[in-house]
Amino acid sequence: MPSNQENIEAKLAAYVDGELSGADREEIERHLTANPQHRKLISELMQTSAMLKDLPHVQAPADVLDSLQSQLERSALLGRPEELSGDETYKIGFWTQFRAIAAILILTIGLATVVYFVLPRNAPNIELATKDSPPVTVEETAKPDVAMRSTTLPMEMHAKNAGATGGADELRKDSVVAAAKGGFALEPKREENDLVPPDIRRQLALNGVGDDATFIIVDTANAPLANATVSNYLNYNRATWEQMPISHGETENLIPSPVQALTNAGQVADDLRRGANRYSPQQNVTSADNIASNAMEQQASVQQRATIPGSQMDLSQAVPSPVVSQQAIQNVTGNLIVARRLNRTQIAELNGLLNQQSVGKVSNFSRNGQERQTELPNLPIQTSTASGTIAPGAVDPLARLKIGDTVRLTFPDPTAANLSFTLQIDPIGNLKLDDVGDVPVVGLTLSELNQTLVAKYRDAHVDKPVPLASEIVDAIEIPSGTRELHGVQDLAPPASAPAAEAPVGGLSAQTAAAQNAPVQEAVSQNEQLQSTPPANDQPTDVVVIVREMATNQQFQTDQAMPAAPGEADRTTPVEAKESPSTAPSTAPTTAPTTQP
Amino acid sequence: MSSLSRAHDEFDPSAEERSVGARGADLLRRAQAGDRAAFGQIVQHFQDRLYNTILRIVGEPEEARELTQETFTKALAGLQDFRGDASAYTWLFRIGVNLAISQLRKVQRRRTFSLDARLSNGRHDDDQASSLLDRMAETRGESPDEVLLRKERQEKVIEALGRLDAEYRAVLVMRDIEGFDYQQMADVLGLNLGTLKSRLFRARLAMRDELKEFLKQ
Repeated sequence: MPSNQENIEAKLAAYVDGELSGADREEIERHLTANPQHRKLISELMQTSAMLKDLPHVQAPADVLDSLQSQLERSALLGRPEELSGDETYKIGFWTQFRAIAAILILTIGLATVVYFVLPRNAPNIELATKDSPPVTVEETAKPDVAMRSTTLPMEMHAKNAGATGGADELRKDSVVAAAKGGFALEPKREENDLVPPDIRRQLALNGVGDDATFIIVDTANAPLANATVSNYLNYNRATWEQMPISHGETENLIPSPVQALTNAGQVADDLRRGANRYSPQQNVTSADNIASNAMEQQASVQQRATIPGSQMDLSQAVPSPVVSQQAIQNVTGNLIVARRLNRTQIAELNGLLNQQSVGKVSNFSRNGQERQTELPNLPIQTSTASGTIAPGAVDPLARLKIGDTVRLTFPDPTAANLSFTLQIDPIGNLKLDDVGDVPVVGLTLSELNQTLVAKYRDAHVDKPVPLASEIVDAIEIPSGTRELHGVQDLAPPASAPAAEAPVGGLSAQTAAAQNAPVQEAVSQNEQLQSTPPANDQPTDVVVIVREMATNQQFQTDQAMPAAPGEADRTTPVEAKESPSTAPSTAPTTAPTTQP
Repeated sequence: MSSLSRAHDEFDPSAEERSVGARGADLLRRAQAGDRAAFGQIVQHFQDRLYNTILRIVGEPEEARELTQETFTKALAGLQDFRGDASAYTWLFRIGVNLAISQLRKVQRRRTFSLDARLSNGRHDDDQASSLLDRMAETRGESPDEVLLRKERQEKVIEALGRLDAEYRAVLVMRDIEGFDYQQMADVLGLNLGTLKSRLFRARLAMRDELKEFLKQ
């Protein structure tokens, strides 16, 4: 029942709208006549109503119908017309809630199970040593109850070592195998990417290096020589490559030395012994005992081999004094050379070139830490002069041509043998070549000269498969037709080649007829390799890690290593120190040696 | 006053409703029978007026768009429950206006409306208002000053409307802007006629207080 006030307000509203009639309207009119102030109010209400009516009408956005249409289509496709029902959309039934809760619980329990039983345990707290850490002695590494420190392993490697319940066996296995291979103590079984420190890994990843990359690690006292050797070879092959620096910390973490590996084993054992793994203390003690025992066995094994004359590793050098090792590490500098998509043959050639240039200790690894020495024979790369063949490294690859030098170019292809000739660099620094014109060569290294000439002849003989070789540098082939360019190859000088001296870059060429036999052997091996390429010769990225040591003592710890290029004793490429069972059958046991 | 009435006659919703009323009922029956195309035509027929009503109540174009869409969604979902005891027009606006009022109650706010902001928020607003003002100026032979004055007054009206309670806004918009009759308004708002008219009177009083400076003495 409306109140009287509401009734009056209703009549006034209708009067304002002009919808009041009859007695009610007359009643209002009489009231307004008697009360002019109320007439003024009614007038203002009418004006208010008129102002509202004056507001513009706004059209709906065009997408209202489209959005609705999309929603209808979606519900039709999903067969869920209930989506359109307003309130029901937001209602969740009891069974739906129950199923959701059950699913969450099952997932949680499952995840917890996976985390507990499958994933590695948490790593114990590990005290990482700094360069100021006291040196570690061999004796200390053999004592599992002594807290040991490592200057070589990144933290995550420690963590994995400590976390793996089978780490002891893996550690023993890998370390022993590595030791038998002559100087490298590999880490315990690594997951992929563990070989490379995280910083370098990130750096490589940013540069798009593939996971199947091959790593060639060069410990050298002459980083420029190593870099030049690699870059020259890559340029020969027109490979895409780039050189980039790596920081000090990255190089020192790269590869642990034998003593460091044993230190790591002791560290792991000690960490486990302290019961850092809270999930399975008993298991930890057992693992710690195993690891410690293994570490002691390895140490004893190393010491035993050291006492055997002629053994694969001389302990007096293989296990350096900690002070020396520390000093060497502190002086490490290095860089990376990333080469794209080299095939297996090229990797082998690069490996062999590095070894025979005696730039330092060369090792091949896949990224997952497997040593590839057995897969990659070191192809003996021969250099030759106009007077014959000389040993690799006898000609300084960094020597620069100068005006007046004489070079001899040969075309080893039997059909083009008579094209060989000797030419002197003219006074303005050019070689005047009939086929390709004047070629400025002053200032080039031998390899750069060869590269330049190959490019010139390649351009000039597109349709003529004429292999080119320069006798004063590595002889190479020009690719033609379907033949693949393998880069630097062994090519014996033509039988008719003159034996005259050809001074190049200030270096005297040497006659070395006595070297022909090993050279021919090497040629035969290379030809065999090239004629029967490996079945799985997929190109891979290659990362050459050049670590330059300020002292040579680090090298002496691992293998008999020439102190610097140019020394007489160059007969110890890596494979020469391989055990017979691991050395490649095609690799020569000795390399030709010729030195003035 | 008469000129304003003439201008408003061009958008007289009652006239439009009458013209589409019969067709609306037919479309509604077809939609109930499962003809989605018929429902699409209902949307096309009523979306502008529904949107304008909701916009004047909530004040925000984007919010009005969402509420308009939600109105049609709910209408479609409840299509089979509609028994034909009201027109399609009333039925849709019952959903839309109540959504708008609920939204305003939910956020517990009183917005200060700005015509400039409103115009800048939507192309439709701007185009529509501009074309309206231009057309009105042409029709009435108003000077630019008069057009400017009208625009300013409209801004003040919208701002004043935004300062009212949701229920007052709803009745003013439905009656004075959309031209609902009392019975339709009562159906939409679920009020009896006396209560509706009383609320309308009070709403106008409140609006009059807000617009006092523009009212002729």
